[in-house]
Amino acid sequence: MGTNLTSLPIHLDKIVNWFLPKTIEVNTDRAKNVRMFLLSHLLGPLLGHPITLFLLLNDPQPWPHVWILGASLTMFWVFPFAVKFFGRYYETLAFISIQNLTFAILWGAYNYGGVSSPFLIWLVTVPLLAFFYLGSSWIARIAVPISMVVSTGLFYLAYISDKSFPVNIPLSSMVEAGLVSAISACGYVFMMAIYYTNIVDSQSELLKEKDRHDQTMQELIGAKEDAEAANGAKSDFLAKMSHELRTPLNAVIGYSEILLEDAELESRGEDIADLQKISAAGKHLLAMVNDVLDISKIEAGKMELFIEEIDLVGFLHDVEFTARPMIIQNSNKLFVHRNEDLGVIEADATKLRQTILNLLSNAAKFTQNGRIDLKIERENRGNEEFVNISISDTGVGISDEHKGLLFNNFKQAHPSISAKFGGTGLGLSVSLKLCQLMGGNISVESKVDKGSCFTISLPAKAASGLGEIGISEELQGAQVTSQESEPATARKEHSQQQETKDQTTIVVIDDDKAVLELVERQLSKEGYNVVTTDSAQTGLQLTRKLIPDLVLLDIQMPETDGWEVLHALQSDKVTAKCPVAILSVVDERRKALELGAIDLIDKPFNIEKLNRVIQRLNRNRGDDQLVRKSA
Amino acid sequence: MTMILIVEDNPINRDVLGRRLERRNFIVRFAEDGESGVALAKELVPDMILMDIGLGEGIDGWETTRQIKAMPETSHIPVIALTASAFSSDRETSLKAGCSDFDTKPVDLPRLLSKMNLWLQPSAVA
Repeated sequence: MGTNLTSLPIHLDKIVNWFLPKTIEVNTDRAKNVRMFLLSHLLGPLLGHPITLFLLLNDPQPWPHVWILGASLTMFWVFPFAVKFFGRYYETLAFISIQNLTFAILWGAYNYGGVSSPFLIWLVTVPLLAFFYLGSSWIARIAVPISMVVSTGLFYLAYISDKSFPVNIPLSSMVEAGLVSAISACGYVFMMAIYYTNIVDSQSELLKEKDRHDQTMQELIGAKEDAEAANGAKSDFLAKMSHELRTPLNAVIGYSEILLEDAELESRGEDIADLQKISAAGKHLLAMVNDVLDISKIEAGKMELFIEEIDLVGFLHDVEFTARPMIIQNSNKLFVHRNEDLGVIEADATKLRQTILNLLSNAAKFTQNGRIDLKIERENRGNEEFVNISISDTGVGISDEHKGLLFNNFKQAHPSISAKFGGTGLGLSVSLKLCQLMGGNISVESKVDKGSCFTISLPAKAASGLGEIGISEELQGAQVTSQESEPATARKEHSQQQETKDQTTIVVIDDDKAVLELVERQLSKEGYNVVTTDSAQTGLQLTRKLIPDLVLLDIQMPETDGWEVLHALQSDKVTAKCPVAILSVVDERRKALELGAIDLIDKPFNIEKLNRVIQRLNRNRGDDQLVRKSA
Repeated sequence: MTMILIVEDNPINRDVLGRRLERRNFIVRFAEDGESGVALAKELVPDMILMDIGLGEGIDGWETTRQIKAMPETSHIPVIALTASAFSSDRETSLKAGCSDFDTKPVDLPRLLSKMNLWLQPSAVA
């Protein structure tokens, strides 16, 4: 249709558009029907009236039949106005127009030649036009053929009543008129046929386009599956490799220690130093292998938690005992601050111990002749109880720019660090992920040359925190936790603020499943509707579909990075107005704001930071709550 | 003299651990799999058994421990489970199977020795 109409003289197109009723949506099939209707009604009388004129001139007694024919043809010019103002009744109007056409043809044929009339050939255009006007509706399929049979019947009845057709002009005087009429009819059908071919062509083009899109989508799905399979294979491979690596490492560590014992017995100083290096290197390698195994397990979602009751006082005593030797290596002193009534918490003891020891060993490693403080206290946050374990040192400290990199895999605050202090660069990443698995987090405060303080914050009941993930449904590969999945009692306990958040939907896009789980848990608990996905593509689709109140977007993603997703969201009319907050370990606030994000939330994520963003969003809207936008 | 039975399928681990214990004046005997571990435990009645959990083919360390603990003549022998993974589930399973204690591999000898001492003392007193 497009090609046909754009090839119309521009003025005609304008006129057609002027008549197009507002109630008809542009670019629908119905709009195409209406345009066709308007076009043929505006031009039709121009084709018909030369015949009227011919009859008027050649019929000795033109009144009333030529005038009736003329009136019927002129009537077609009324229909565009009727459609413009009564667009709702388009179908009825089209049907009436078709009846008028049938009448004009049969009336002309009856009065000028009967069944031999040169005008009768026009009857074939009636069903054709009916389909053009009405599409393949029941009116075109059933009502129009019936009405044609009825009209033809009336035509025949009129003939029967007189046993003859009136002879107003002898057929022999209408030869030229007959030829012109036949050619006009052919021309008309020809135009319709061209129009029809255009539509078919453009539709098959559309179909081809759709096929191409489908194919691309299939390829993308295939690629996605391949990538997921590859990722799964990677995790399996790492897990197997880590296991296989440990056996030879056992030999390296074991035999170097045997030799070390021999050397110590025989006081061979040089050998002792060398063997200590082999042993230390072996242990370092083993620690790395263990960390890689942990990371791959966490990333593959295979890290299981074994939640048990932990008596904090006894537990800390044990940790302290284990940590003492490494604390004194750099002539540091360890001070433990705790109350005797810390009670019990529910957590995975092994993983918590691993996390605390890791932080303690870092503190010991980066501090010389200093002090390390281990402090434990309980904290009530609203309805939930947390336990905060902080490990502070008086060591080298971490600069602000390096703080963001701390929790990344294989990143140490500075490349020279591994040379000077050793370590795998995985320890903090593993520690953070383990804490997040238990529903907690690790935060850092640090000043260069003054020292660092790492604080582990864990819910006192990790198990219940996990349980609240509750019923989650799969929606296009995304995890959806709706607020309804929370137990009714738990909902009541939440304060009023929850009600104001009822309608707030947040889409979270982050490739790190552990982060997604954490963010989802925290946001759901706050009463937001949270939809998470680890795929940028799904994220775009979800945002388009849900028009959320806020999109939380991670920057560092493997295939499509956050900036690209932000750009895509803003180029799409549907999602352009969705507020997007960037999640990033690097402080690129200025870049984020320049590119149209409303804010940047630095990782590690915590709920207070998000609440601040949402409060600001609300203030900017001059509104006391987030209101769901309607599409 | 205190006799230790090491049930371990890996020859390197067996050799390293065995030699280090022998240096500390333990009498060390070895079993390469669970079945011979049960048989040797019954025959030798050692003072302690160090039990690898992942024993390759045949029954695993937990099952071996269960069988040893089920026999009246060996049920009193303390068993320390050794496993490559530090999961607390392994520890729980080990304790349920009848092990007295649990340690991870590669062996940190001072730590293992302190655990061994803890469980050997009562029998030394007896």
